[in-house]
Amino acid sequence: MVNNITFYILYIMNIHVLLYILYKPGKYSNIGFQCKKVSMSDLKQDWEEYTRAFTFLADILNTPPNANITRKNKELFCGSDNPPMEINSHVGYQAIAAFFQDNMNVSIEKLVQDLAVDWTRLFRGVSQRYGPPPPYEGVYRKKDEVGAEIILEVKRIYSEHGLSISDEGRDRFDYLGYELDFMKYLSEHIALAIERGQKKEEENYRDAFCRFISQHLSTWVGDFCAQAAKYTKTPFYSGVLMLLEDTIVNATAICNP
Amino acid sequence: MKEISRRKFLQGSMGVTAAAILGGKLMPSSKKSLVPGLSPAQTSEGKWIKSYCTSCIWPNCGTEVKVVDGVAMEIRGNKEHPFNQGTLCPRGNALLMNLYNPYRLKAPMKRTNPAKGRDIDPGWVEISWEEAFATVGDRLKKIQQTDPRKFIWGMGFSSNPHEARIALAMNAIFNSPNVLYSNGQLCEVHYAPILFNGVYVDRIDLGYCNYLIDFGRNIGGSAMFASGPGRMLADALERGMKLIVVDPHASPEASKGEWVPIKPGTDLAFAMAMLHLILHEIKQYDAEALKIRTNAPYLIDNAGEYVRDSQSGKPLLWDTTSNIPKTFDDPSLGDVALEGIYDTNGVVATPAFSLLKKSVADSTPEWAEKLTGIPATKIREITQRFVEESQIGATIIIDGIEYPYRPAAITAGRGSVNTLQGKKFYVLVDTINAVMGGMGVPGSILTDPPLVAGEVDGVLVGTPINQAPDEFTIPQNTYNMMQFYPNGVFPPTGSQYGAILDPQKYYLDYEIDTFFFYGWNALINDGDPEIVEKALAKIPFSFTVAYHIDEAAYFADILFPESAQYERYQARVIGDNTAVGKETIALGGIHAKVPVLDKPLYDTKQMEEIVIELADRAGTLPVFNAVFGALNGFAPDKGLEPMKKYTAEELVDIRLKNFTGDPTKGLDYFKEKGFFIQNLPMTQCYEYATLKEAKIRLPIYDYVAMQRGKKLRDNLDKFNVTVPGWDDLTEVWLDYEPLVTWHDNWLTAHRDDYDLYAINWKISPRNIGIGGQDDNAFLREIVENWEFDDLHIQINSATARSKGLKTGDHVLVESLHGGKVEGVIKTTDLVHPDVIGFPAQAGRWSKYMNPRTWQGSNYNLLLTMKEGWILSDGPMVNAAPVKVSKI
Repeated sequence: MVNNITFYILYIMNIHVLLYILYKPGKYSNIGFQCKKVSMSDLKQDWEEYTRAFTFLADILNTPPNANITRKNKELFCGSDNPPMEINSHVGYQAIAAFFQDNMNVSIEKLVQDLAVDWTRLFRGVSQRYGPPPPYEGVYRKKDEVGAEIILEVKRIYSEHGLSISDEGRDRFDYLGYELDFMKYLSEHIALAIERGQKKEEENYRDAFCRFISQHLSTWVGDFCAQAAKYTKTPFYSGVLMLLEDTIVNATAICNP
Repeated sequence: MKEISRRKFLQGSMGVTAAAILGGKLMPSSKKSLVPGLSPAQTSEGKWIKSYCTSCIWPNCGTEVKVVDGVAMEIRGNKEHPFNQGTLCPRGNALLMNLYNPYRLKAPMKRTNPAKGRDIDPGWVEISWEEAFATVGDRLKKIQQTDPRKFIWGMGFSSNPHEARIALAMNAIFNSPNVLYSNGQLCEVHYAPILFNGVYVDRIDLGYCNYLIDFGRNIGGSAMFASGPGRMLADALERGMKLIVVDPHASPEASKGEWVPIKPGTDLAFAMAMLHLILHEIKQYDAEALKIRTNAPYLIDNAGEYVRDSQSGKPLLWDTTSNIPKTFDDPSLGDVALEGIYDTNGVVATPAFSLLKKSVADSTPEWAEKLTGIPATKIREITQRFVEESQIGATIIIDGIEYPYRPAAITAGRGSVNTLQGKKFYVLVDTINAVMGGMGVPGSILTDPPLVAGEVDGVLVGTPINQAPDEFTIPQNTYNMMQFYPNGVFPPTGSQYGAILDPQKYYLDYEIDTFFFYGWNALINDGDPEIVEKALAKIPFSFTVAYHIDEAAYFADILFPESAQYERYQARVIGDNTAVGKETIALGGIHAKVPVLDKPLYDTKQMEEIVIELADRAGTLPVFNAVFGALNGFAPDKGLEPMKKYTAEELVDIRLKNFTGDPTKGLDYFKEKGFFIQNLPMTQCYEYATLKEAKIRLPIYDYVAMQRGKKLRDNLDKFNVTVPGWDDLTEVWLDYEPLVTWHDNWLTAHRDDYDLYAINWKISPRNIGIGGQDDNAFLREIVENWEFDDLHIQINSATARSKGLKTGDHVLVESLHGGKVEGVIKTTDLVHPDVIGFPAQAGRWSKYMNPRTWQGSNYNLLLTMKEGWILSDGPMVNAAPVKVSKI
């Protein structure tokens, strides 16, 4: 098994490197919405990247581990045709890969159970000492531990875009899974607007993306990730948390070039 | 891969890239997500949805919940509701947290670790509803097909059994007699009301009472029924009612009257001294009422039995008009004797009243002073005033009916009753009320209508819910132990857990296999949690419908998540309890609620829906439908279809139409109005009228208890067994005495080592813990900062000085039973010098509860439910001899 301390050190280093890259004056000041050096096609693809990233993260939050997903993961990281360790050196990605590779001979049932226990502990708010405070924006941002105002605020934002929670969805509007899903929706529509040459729509969606990331996700996800990292039992979720935090940090940065 | 490496936009963000890779290759999109399809919505000001509050045991207060754009934002009292008239207590105001509590159960869960213990991680995982239903349903079906007795049902106040009434009938639904209560161990208060008012909880008539002596009973602010009783008490005090509070703790009620501090466990001595004064010194009592409305004139032989007519078998009285014995219901009965010795066909007998008088002949105030610590002069003063205020002979006409008017009453509550001899104390309190001509009349102690009671030998017999089985058997048929405690109201839980751990010792020949509990949490509500833990660990399979993971749910195998209180369809009959005034005495009707949100906030269901599904899978759905109809008084032709799986919404709608008798007054009507008022006639509120018409008398001589004791002795002899768990049965047999006597006991005995008594009381923001009350951060903040009753242990200032203690000291409190708790003390003059007081409930130990609930000291750890230390009919003693030391 991968050593948790090693992960932590790598994680911290990674964040620092990332922040340096993001905020170093000049070098990357042309990224984001003032981008001049990339083509429209590149930009569309980049927003599609965000769409896929938020799809992954939202689905992690919104779906308990099951045999189907776990099997796919295992095949991806342990299959001979596609050694994924080489495609990305991010420590979170490495942790996820290592989890499956280290457990190559463990049954799917056992892996699902281990992941499900960890998922429940990290994301479901079983208790304050069993896991981190559950990933609801209101819980992290309001002293009263409820944050009804934030629930309402977020709900209204979804409604402005004609969105609601699916019939199967049963959680607060400020649940991280839905907020990430909303980011997926916005990224997707930015890419679509770019593809269609709809400047105004692109701008509107970009504004919404940046407002939501700066006023909501960026205000609390870091805190959640830090607290959740203390409770992770599987390197898989250590990796997920690293990817989550990096993604939010990066999305925040591109809105503040 | 080339596409990714070429990127500029995301350059440097390996995290996004990595997540994108995984998003592209791995994850199917979740069905639990945001979906388009709505027209972009306009924000609104919101709307107020009619509902009612369920933050206490008897939910009477109408409320409204403000919902803005699908989000519940505010709760307020419903000003149109006649019961609370817009008021709402702190618990009701805090119920928004019950909805949004982020630590609620949010989906079905199962434990993956089969080992059970308070320090063992259950390894919870969320599962689908189908998996949860299939796991439990298959098990229940198998039990139904083999031995349904292996199923045991558990209930308590952690949820609200009086709202979800189906909880009271779960044994019938799953065809097993076995039940564990965690709400009964401290409920010795029901016996006397059953005896004298035919009801579980009696009501004080504050509308007419002018002088009230209260022994350990919460009436106003600290009671669980704060709204009606609180307002009615305030009105009565403003009107000039004098309130005497006899209690080791100066309650909020005491602050509005006169506080008479008493040593715990000695209330009976005070009451005996009162009766002594009334019968032997003051000699003013309502002889007429005793003769006509009680069994005081019934002739008793030397064995304590009624002297009966040889032909009819009916009890005899001595008719002083014709100087011959006559049956109690003889139409020619003239004046009857209350005292004297009579020869009845060779049997020497005396009226029960004579025996009552004799039983208190020596219990002078001076005698009581030594036990209670209350000066004899004070007992005399209170009793004299009580007699004067009783206005013996006075009458009053209400709604055209003339009633005796007795504007003085004595009342008792858990604090005084759940001690050794406490049940007998309450019986004596009501006996005194009856001696003065009170009980069921204006100004006194009343039933909670409608009175549903029978009679035996012309004497009122209330109906306890847990009667002993008709047949005494060895081996026993049930785990309820009631055949050994036939005078008890609730099963003795200490014996029940003992039986689960060692069935043979308790004469049982089968083991419990499956435990279903709802609102049950004996790990907190009873003493000896280590015994309960062992029992829980031994039962092979447990499941619960739970709001959160408390100490009990921690031991379950399957957790069904319960919808919050404002997410349910419910209806509840309106009617005030414990204390009423002119505004509330006749108030009746029903109110209803619907979920305030479009769908539950989390993946939860309400208890009834879960039970319906389980009953269907277990093959007992027709029983559920029949029981639901019976519980709610459906006419046979208006019952539920046996095989239909009703929704909670449908059930409530049917119930409302049935109650109102109007097919247009279903849920739609209540969504608009919130409630339906159907006031009761005054003749139902004052049971004097009902009893007079039916010629039913009150039992100042508890003949029925004596018969139960005799039957128990016979059965023990017949089967050559003993009451399991007791080394010495002396205390057990005291329960069956027909008249109250004083017995020194372990609680009242002086001890140099355990020199204090631990006591406990409710506070308004934390009464009986319904619906995650302890986990409610809003309420907890109040509990932590309450000016008088916060989380400190309270000790009398003088006592503290004598022990070298001061406010802020960290102390260890050790009980005679071996329990130990630590805490921080606060000195006060609001507790008796002999006690150490623990307000409310604190020191929760589940690591799944809000850590704020861990603060403070867990009082119940000082108590015990082991046989030999409990009350003679089963419940736990709520005070304990303790010693305190600084640490």
